[in-house]
Amino acid sequence: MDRDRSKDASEGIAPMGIQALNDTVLSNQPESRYECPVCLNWLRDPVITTCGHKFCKSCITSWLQNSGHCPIDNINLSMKVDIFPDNYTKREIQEQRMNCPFSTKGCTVKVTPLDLDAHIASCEYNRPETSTQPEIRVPCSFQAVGCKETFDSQEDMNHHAETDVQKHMSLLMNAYSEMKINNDMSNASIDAKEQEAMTLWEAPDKDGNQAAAPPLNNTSALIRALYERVVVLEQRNREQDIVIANMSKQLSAFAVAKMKQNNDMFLRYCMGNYVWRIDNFKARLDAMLRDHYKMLYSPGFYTSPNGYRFCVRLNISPQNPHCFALHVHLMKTENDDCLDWPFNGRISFAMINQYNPELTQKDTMMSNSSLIAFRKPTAEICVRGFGYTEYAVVSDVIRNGFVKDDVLIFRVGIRCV
Amino acid sequence: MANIAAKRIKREFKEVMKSEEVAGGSIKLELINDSWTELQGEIAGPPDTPYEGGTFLLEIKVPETYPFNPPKIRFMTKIWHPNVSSVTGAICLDILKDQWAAALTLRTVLLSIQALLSAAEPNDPQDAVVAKQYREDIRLFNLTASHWTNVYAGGPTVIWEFNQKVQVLIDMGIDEDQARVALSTFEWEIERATEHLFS
Repeated sequence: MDRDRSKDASEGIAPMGIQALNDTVLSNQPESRYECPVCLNWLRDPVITTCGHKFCKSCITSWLQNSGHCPIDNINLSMKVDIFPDNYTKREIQEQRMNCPFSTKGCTVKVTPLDLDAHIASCEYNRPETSTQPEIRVPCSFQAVGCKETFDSQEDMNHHAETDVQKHMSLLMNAYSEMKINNDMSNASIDAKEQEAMTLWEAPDKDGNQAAAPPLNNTSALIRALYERVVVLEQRNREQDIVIANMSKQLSAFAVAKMKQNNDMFLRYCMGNYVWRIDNFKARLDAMLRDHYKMLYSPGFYTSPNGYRFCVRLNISPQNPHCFALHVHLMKTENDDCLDWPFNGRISFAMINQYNPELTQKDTMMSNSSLIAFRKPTAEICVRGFGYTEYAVVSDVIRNGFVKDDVLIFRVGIRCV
Repeated sequence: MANIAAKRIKREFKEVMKSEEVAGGSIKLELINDSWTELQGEIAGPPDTPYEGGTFLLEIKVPETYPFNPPKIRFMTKIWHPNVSSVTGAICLDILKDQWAAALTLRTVLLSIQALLSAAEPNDPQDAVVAKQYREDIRLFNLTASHWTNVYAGGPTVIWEFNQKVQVLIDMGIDEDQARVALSTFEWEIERATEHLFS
């Protein structure tokens, strides 16, 4: 029982003691001829006895206060008559020079053996040992989350832990949220990458074994795995770029289709009342004046959703280059077979005067069922139109306020009868 | 602790650690605290003695006045020896008392104690009962010392007869150590031992 207990105790302490020994004390081991048998240190003020033994003066003095014998051979000694200064040994010791034990740390001091202990105590390279040992401070138990306080004793630390709860809570909170963010980020990215890497890279050769990710036991394996993930991600990135490009194309196609549909809707449901806005009129007019075969056609509009479809044509009159010609043309629709032919109805033109509505030029005509223009169209647009070959004088249109902001507006009304 | 004592113990400790005896497993020295005032010695039972094969622990206390006064040393392992108390472990050895010399060291003291196990001094006893047995019945003394070495110090010699007698007293409700001391004292006669214990 005793043996066990003492073994435990000694195992804990002995290594530390040996370490301390090796560091300083034993670096200064004297040769036996210069060693005092009492203090086992270098002879300080050596004396020699009549029996031929050397001691430090103070050591033999202390010894002989309680004993009348030599510490070595028990011969009777008297302080007064048997002790002599040994100046020969003293001089030999004085001539010795020893390196500071901290020379490995950079101390270049060389001193006599007797001065070595004093030097070690004050050696500037001795700081770590002397400063760390007395100052074993207790760190705050919340050190890991960032509390930098240290304390002289465990009690002080406990007191600090009790009083600074608020501070520690907030430190913990910060640490927790950081950890959470890191976790979330790494989880999300690693999961995605791993799964992708597995499906793209590993699935072909290990079908049933996807769950067992290869253990990354060295750096090169880790780099390889990361590289593979990069490749996977780049691949996916490219695929997604393509998808995005396709989608934006589709989107613009949709937008165009939508606009077209809106227009078609408007044209189909205008019930024969169509307002034709000709923008950039000046430029179009110039083009027509240069080339008399150039004609402006309106989009086709319907007299009713499933009714006749007409478009309007404006061009420079072939007979009179100073005049506009204005006609309507029947256009093919999907319902042509269901309609009555030839078309019968009233057609009215109004060229809007945008400055003075009273000057708007209005004309109304009745269809003529004998004309080819009102028969069921055989081409997309019936080649024959119906209207005025000399509708208005070009210069009047320009001068009299029909064009505003480079826009000319016609209102066309076609009603079946 | 006086500076000179601590310094000397440190040097001695190193001396012991480097010594041949430690290398040979004959003696050992360990620190108990870091102020160098308490150590634990260990000596091997010397060959050709009843202590052979046993390991004996020693408590060493270093006084402040060391080395001008001797260290205080006692056996922590129970031992049957004329110069050691079978109850307290106190050692009767002149160099630990009036013959102490400042030039002696822990190493030399441990070796002296080891030598004491080889050469008992029955005329200057610590334990009179043991010394008497040593003088009057050296055969029984050797058997008893072997038995104690086996039981307390891990020695190899098992003496069944003694173990059984101790067990008889234990079965009677007597403490094992007390039973062994009583039987060792009364020449392993159960009647006398029990008579002594229950009187």
